Amino acid sequence: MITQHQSGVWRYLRVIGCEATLADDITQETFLKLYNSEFEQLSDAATASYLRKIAFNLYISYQRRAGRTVLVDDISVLDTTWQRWAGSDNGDGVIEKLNECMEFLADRAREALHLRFSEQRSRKEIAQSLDITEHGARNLMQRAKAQLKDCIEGKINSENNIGDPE
Amino acid sequence: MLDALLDESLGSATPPDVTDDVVRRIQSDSVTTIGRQSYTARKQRSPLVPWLIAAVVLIGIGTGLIVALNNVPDNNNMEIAENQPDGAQNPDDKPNDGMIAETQIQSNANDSQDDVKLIGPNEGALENNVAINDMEPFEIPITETIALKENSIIIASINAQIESAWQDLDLEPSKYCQDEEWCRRTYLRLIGRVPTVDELESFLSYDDSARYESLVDLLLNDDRYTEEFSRHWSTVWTNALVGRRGGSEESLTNRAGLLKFMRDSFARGIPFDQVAFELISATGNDDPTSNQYNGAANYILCLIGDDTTLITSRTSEVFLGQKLQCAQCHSHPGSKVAQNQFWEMDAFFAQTTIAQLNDGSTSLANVDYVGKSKSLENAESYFEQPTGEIRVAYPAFLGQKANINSGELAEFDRREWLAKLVRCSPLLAKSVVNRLWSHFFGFGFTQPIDDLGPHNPVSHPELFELLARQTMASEYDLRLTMKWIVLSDAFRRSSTFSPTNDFDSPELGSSPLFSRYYTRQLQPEEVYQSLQVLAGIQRDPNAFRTQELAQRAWLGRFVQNMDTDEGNESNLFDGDIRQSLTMMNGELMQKVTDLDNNTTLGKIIRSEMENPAKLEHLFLAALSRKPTQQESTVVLDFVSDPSVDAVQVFQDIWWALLNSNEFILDH
Repeated sequence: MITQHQSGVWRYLRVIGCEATLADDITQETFLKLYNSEFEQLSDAATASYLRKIAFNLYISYQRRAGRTVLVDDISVLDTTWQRWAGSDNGDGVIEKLNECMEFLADRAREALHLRFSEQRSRKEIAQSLDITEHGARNLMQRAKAQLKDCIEGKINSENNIGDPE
Repeated sequence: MLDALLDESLGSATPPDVTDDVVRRIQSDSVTTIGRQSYTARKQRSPLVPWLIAAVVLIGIGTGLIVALNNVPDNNNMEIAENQPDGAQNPDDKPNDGMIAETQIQSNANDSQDDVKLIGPNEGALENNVAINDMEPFEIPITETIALKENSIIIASINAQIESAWQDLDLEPSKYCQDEEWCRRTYLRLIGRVPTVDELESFLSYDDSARYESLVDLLLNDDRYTEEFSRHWSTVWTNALVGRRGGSEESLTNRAGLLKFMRDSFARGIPFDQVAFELISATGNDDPTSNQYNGAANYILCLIGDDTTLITSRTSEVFLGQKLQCAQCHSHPGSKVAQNQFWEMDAFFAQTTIAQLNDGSTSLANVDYVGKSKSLENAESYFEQPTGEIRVAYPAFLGQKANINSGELAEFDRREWLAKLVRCSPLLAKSVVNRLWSHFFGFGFTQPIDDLGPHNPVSHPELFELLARQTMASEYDLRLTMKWIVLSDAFRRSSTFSPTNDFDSPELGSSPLFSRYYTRQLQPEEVYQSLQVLAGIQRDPNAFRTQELAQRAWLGRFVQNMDTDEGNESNLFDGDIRQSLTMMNGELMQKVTDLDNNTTLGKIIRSEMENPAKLEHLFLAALSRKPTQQESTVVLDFVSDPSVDAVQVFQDIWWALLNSNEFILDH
């Protein structure tokens, strides 16, 4: 079960704002908490949802103990979106779609995202590297992310339509 | 969401394999833990029982919980709330001592399932609690019918909830107050003045077991007190709606018209949700002599200015307990209110317009709104973000967007729809209950009372829910809510500290526990009405306007407009020099201390009572208590001196009593 669900839990934690190393720890805690709870395996989807709830509460609890008063968006909306994106494969598919969609981006946009997420460059450094203003770098990345989002949504919708007998 | 995925796709952050670590920790834990079942062993038990329990518990619990950090149980003693879509696991789902998400109000377990019945045109839509009608601008929530419980059961529940907090903190509440004290505070809170000696003695003559409820019923329901009850509560609500200065010379509003509307509503027992609807959706003329007169219109007329922002913030505060004012200029960092929410609420007032008529009156109306881009079908408003960017806003009620954005009145009367949405919102009941509780105890369940939300902890969440739901069940009969509160155990507690409740001091910022009655200064209106009664001034039901003007002139000395965006006022009836001078030498005080036949003092002096009885009456009239032995001795020794004028002494004593702290305090 751990092998099956751990990447889904970890990715879920990341999308609600948990940084990577903390997500590692909370993923472990989530399965320990599951072990200590009155849990019955019914279906993979139910288990995944249950694990997400545990992970969410653990994350919030950690933040509270750390004295952080960050509010989290409506969890049901987040859950719905993540379920639609992650499907039943713990998000492996959406990562694959993301990689495919990256190919459709303009070179400069792809470069900007690469600098930001791969090399952890600041916006100022990205702007200098691409010889644009900081404002321009921000807009470039925002547009790129919007394109990626649309592209992923399009792929998901198209998959769903194929599977729909109507 | 996308950032996290990009981080994984392009960066080095990838899902770890925690299998070995988890297994190792489970094994290490199992060595030291006694009685734990293995996962395999648990799987061998029948899965059906817990699932059935979980399914029953989850029935009616809507999705969309707004979760705040403080609302999540501590990890060390964590009970995980679940809401699984595919047949749920449900370990006990308990709210902690913080807040309860707003969406839970319709499914809270304060009432048993047997008490709750959902009705509506589309029972299939119950899971979403909405009835779908594509033709309407909004989906109005289905009305939830909640069974109204017996008064005694509700009062017992209030007592149990309050006492439970005392027990948790090992706190001994203050003793019960004297019946005279309870009578005084009940008169002050319910009809806004101190009781007369006759009224006090009448109360004390009731049978012990029934005297409390008898007095409450008398003040709430007896025709002899309807006028005073309605006047008092119209003042309370008018102050909340437009402040004490609302309707002053520079304002468009006719305060007397608004007071009359509120007074009539309370006198006729109009459900408060209906009152709220009429205030928000009102159109008409502010002048009571006009054919188009609508007193309710004065609420909006008072607050409308160059724009409608003050109406938006006041409506949110008073009727929904939502402080949106800060979000007018920026998203609120603490309360999760985004700037667009304020302007989406403000867009409901876009059709509102006023006209100054030739006869000097003002008329409130709605007109088609075409938006800045002259589109009637898509009538937008704009607001500026702190970054300087201009954003568009359409009507949305606390995040619920309208199905259409038309500015055409015939298609989408925005203000009327806002009134409908407010009326159906559970937040209306919460905001009303919080205000009432605060009126009776000096502190509400949240501080401040008009800022509800996950960012603001509720002192007694379950009690708050119970009262809100039962107020809805009573169809907003606020007299009932008042009765429950006044007859509660907490309202009978003395204002004197017990040996262990000195930390129950919300005045110093702690959360109120209501283990004692919090002493506070009377509102200036309450002092005024009390002095009126003691002066023997009869209220003429046909001279409301004159009396209202006299009261406003008296109050005007103590209230100043702060000229803030929120329309705040300062109340200087708090020991200010003006208060002292008015209470010591003011015209009304001179009347009260006059030996006129009508005044309380005059009647006592002229009576055939002996001096001790006269002194006792003076104390009862001013302070609702008899003089102490020491007080009696001092005064009566003085009065018995043949060289002094006894009448003059009683007059001075009377003046001193009315200028004492004890008189101007509710205790």
